[in-house]
Amino acid sequence: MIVTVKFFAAYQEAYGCSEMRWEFPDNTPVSAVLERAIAQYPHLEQWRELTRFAINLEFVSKNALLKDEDEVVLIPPVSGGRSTTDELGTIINIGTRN
Amino acid sequence: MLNPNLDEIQLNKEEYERYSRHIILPEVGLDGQKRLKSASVLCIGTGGLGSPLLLYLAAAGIGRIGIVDFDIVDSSNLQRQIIHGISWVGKPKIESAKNRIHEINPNCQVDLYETRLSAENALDIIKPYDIVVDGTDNFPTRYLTNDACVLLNKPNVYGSIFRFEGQATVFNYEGGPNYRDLYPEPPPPGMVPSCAEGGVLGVLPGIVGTIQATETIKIILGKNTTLSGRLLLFNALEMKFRELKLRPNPVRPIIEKLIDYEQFCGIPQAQAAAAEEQKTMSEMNVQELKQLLDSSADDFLLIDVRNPNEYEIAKIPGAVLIPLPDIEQGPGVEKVKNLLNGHRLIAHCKMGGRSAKALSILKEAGIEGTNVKGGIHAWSQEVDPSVPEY
Repeated sequence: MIVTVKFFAAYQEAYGCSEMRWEFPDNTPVSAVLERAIAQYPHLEQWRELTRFAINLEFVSKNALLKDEDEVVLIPPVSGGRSTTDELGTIINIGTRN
Repeated sequence: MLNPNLDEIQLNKEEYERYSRHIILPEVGLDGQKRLKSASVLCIGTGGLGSPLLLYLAAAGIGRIGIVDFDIVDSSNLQRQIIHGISWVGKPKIESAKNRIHEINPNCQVDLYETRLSAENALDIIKPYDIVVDGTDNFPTRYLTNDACVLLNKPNVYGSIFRFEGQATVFNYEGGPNYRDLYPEPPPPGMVPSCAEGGVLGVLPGIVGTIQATETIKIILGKNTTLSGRLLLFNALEMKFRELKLRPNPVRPIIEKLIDYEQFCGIPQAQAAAAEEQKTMSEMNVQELKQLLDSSADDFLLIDVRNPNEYEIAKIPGAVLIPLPDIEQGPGVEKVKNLLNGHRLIAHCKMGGRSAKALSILKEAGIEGTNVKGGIHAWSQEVDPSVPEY
């Protein structure tokens, strides 16, 4: 079974592209897509509990089973929008941001 | 108010002329323009998203606009925050926004809240408005805005951006899903890069902000074709729009009251951990680094953990570029090991945050080093002004 995986945000950065075609055995849950990404890029582990899955443009649970030619989307939260020079932004980014 | 008594609202001659392109549009018409005139919208944030959306809401003839922000206009905002101009750099964003709004439409009443939205003030600030538009850039405020809108039963027009990607939807509208149906729990602090670290295409918040303005206007006009229940994803690089169906989570926890959102998002915990780490981390200031570089010492390795494009903009002489993502993913650690050769390790970035993170990863791999306090930003301010600040 082959599915199309669409990447957003951190996933797109890790893979350097917006989609890939991946093969899985039948009856694979959608979470296996995330597991494969984490296996290839271990730093994505931090997104494990936060990533939402969609199959064919509909949000699904991590246990939803994949079917041949499904389109899978992995979406982590993004927050940008306002200026980043504020007090809170500085606090949030202690230790990680410049 | 939404759904006002239209017989009680009149437009004057100037307003008929000003809004004529709306009034002749059947989907808006005179009734729609009266609805816009009697509506009130609260915009949280006057940054990348807030800028275009405030401009369009003002131009569209929204009767009353509230703005919440406590930030000052900075020259690095002008690349995308188009409501602010050069003469307002260094001044409060809300004043700048009000000035510009009145330049466009003096009919619009503008209420300013120069404060950070908090659990203490959110309900009082939001209550007098029909619709809330979320133009913030941080998770505590997003969850706070969401929960306050749920408690007060106000629609929350959501937008978010990251580099070339945007998201938009309408939360808490006529029984539709809210932000907690999308992401029940916030990510730990520091995991999500801000515009400062991640960068953002200036026009992107313009597109997402105008989508938010469009949705706000549609809610006021009573059009049942909003993004409620659909998360719109936009990629500016590929110029592609997609949408994902979003439903209320049947087992979502009930929001009963506002909580401490900084605590909820782990910020005090992260601050404490960062402070603890800083205590044990060896540091040097830029003058000490300058002395070391000027001396004939060659028993140290200076690494720069910023991204290659930042290294191209400005660099400290002799620094070897090993970007933080390479260190996080492993190959960078090997590279440091190979180059170090028993020498002392010194790391810098733009302001000291990323190099501290790099050093804590390297420490786990058995390599201890010294962090340059204030990074290349301090170097440019205190040692070599010819190094550009960015």
